[in-house]
Amino acid sequence: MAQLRKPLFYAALALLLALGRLLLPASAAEPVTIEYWHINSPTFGGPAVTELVKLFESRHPDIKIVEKFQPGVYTGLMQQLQVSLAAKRPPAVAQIGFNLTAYAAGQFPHVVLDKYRESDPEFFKGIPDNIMALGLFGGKLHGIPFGVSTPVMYYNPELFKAAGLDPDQPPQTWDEVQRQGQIIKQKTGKLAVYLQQPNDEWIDQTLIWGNGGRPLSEDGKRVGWDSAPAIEAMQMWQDMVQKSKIAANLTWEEGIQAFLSGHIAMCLTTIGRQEHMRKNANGFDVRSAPVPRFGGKPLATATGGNVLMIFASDPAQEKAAWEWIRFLLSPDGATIWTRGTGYLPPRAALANDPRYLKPFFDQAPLMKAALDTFPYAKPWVSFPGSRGLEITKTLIKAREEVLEGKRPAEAILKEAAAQANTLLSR
Amino acid sequence: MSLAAPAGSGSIALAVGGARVRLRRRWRANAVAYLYLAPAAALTAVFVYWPLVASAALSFYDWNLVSPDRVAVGWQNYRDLVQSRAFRLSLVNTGQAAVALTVLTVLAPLILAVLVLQVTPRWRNVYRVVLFSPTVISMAIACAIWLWMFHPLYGVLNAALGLAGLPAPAWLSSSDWAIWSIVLVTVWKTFGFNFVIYTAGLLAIPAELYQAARVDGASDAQLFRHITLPLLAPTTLFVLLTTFVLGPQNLFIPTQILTQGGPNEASNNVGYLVYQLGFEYFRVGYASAAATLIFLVFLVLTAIQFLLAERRIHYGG
Amino acid sequence: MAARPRGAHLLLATTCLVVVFPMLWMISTALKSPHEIFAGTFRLWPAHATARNFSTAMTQVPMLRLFANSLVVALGVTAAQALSSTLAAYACAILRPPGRHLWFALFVATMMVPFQVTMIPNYLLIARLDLLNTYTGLIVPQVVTGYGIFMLRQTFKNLPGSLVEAGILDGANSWQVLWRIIVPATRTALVALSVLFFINTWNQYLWPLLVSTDKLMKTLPVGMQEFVSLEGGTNWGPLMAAASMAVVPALLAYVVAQRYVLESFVAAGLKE
Repeated sequence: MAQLRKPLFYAALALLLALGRLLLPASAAEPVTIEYWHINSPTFGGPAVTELVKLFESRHPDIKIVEKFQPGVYTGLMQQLQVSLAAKRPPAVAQIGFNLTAYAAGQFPHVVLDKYRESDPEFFKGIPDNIMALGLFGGKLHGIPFGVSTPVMYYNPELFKAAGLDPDQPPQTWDEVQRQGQIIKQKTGKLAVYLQQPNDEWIDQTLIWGNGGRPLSEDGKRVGWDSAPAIEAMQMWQDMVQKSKIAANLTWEEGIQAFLSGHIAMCLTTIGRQEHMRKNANGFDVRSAPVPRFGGKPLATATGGNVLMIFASDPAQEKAAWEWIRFLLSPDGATIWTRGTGYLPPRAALANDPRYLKPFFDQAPLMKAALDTFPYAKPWVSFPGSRGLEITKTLIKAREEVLEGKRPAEAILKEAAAQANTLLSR
Repeated sequence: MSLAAPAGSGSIALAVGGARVRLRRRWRANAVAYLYLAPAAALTAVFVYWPLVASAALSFYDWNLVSPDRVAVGWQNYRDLVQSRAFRLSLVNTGQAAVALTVLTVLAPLILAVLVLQVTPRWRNVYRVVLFSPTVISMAIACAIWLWMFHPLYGVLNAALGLAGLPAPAWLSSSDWAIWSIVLVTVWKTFGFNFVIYTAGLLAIPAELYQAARVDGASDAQLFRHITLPLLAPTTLFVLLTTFVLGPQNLFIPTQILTQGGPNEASNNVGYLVYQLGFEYFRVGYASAAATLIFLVFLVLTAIQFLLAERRIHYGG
Repeated sequence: MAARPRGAHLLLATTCLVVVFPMLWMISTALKSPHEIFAGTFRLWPAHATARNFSTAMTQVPMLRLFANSLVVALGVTAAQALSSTLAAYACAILRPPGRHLWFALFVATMMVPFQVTMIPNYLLIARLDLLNTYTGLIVPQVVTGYGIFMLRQTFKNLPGSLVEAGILDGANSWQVLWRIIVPATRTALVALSVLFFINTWNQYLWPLLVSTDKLMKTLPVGMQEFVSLEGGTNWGPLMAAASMAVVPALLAYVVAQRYVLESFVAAGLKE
């Protein structure tokens, strides 16, 4: 009898195991882990990202998101992206600034997203066409617009009051800006306005769109910097700095600092900074107004922010990446996102939905100006071709030269446009 | 003093201050020596020279490291570079900066080190720590701080200049002053290093020399010219060479943080240019051409300096 | 030395004030509330000093972890640099095999190679070896140092010949000569060099930026960038608080070793 026990025991064990496999549920598949790269620092949406990841993972236990902050904003992220692509270890999803999107779309390997229009039509409903168009290049969809911002005119009501102007009636046109600006300068001695001067041409494009021009021709062969509307707008900017001396010529950080410390009355910069402005303004309540118009011309601004692009090459990762994107743009996701950053939701209707973002917008008065500008948002044109980023730099340099004022804007812009057009054709 | 073998007999001799010790074979002694060189050599080969060679190879392409199209362009990158305004301005700026850096971080620290020796030992330590302190923070933080110092409207620098009745420029936005802002930050951050080196050099000069000269009635100025300077010559050479080579590289971070080469390339320099071409435009091939060219220029210039200086410096005794 | 301390004091004190001012400003900003930071007027000592920036800095980024990472990397690089330079300088200065001049020139020439050249190939190599986000990946490529080899070679060459002679006569081999005679005789130089290596590596930004993207593997300079955002606005108070804290180990290393630093360059003589 003892002889039989061992083999019997093992036979029983084997039977149990076999039965167990049939009866017990299949063990959960290994979660797919994907990397998500973003620029959201702890004070600019960082906590929102953490919250989004937690919420998403609770709903999708089979996907794990490793979120990584990249310093240096969109340019810094792009640099890290490039080396990681070279090492064949890119993130699955990354935020690509609008001004860099054409370059990424044309020069970095990524997933083209048109196929999702058929496989996931629900996702695309509710996103206005002018917003969705921001991710289109050469007729194809390369990225999903995610962070959407507009420039707004922040202003210091105390300086307005001190100049005897009505802080509830901020300037609505550039003529008004100059008129009120002169008064502010005379009565308070402070500079009147600062238009942001970062290492990009967002505001420059806003001015061009606003004055009726196009930063890039329809056929994509000529930049619009030497068109009449562009020259007029940039000359106006130059005059404000050099002639009437109501505008400051400062680097971006310096300009913001000066505004927050009460040395400049109006500051044209991104709505993304609204929380920073609100918290740091010294001795005044920051207010915002839409970007000024050019006379009777309609309001137009270049849209800032980013698209989400998928760089994963593994199908499981791509699938997970798409799920993540769907969540980020979903009403729940977008609500957390907008509240944390001040970026506008791509699904514009959420802003007025009391279940989602209406409460936020109601108690964030600075956002109103951005919301009002939203319908007039034009693309932040990024330049196609392998020299697209150099073109951007050429135009930034042109702006720097214009503001220094040693030559009139027309000469500078014509030269820059000629250089840019040559680069476009490469 | 050396453990090298004089020529002659078939066996190897170690000549050490006169004493002779025999080793069995030349190759064994040399093999051992190469073993000692091996770690540094291996690291240098893998992490510096292989990239340099790879980079030189890349300089003949138009590529961004990532896209599937990689176009061979021969010498075109070099031709474009030499003709580009950015490159010319970068060279000019770097040259000017190098002169300024030399004067301010080679000359000034020397003077400061001499001055420090004229006070009591307790004060000496205080001054030395204070003067070295900027070197201890990171360059990025230094730039962040100086961003506030440079503010044209209410920065400390312009406030002080205004008090003195001097013109107060827009440091970072003016094409005349931008490069000097960068030089200023770099000088502030790096001069402490050479200061320490000079201090040590000065301490090595025996006090007796000065005493003897004083007995002979020499003045301060004569002491400086005839004793201090000559005996410091090797130190000065070391400082000059390292400042010349490392100084332009130190300009990079301030340029990146404060001006990004602007306004309109006015503050571009060779350190930043390579970065701009490779990391802002992603034209890796073009950037490699710039880097290779710049490396060769520095190599040649440094070699010339070194050879010239070696000839002119006579070491005492 | 010359007898005019008062003039020297005047010049030195003025220079010191100018030089140290930005450092004071850094600490002062770390102690200010946003309201005061953006006051737009000059004021060194805050009217209402607050420690809030320090606590914010500690909570918003994993400061202790960043400190630890920086420490591991800095110590690792310092030790490796000191060791490899000592060995190489020993070979060049004392053992003097044929080809030493070429090797020495190659080592020194590494100082002229722009970092942008080496950064990406090294990154790709480290990535291929699966060493991203590891201490090894952070440390190993930073170990090359032409400066150290240059300096130590000078130091070793200046040692009196009798020192090594005695060792040889006692029958010591090259390894024993190095560790029992050369290193003890030049320990001040080695300490000095190590301090400088440490400070340099402590503040290193570009390489750790590439290699460690994992939140918990970042070093201090990289981690501090979380306070900087040109899009959302830089958080100046906590940034300066973090920077003030980051300065401490580096400054400490210098102060403690200051005695050695000075004496060492004396021993190096930097005379041929």
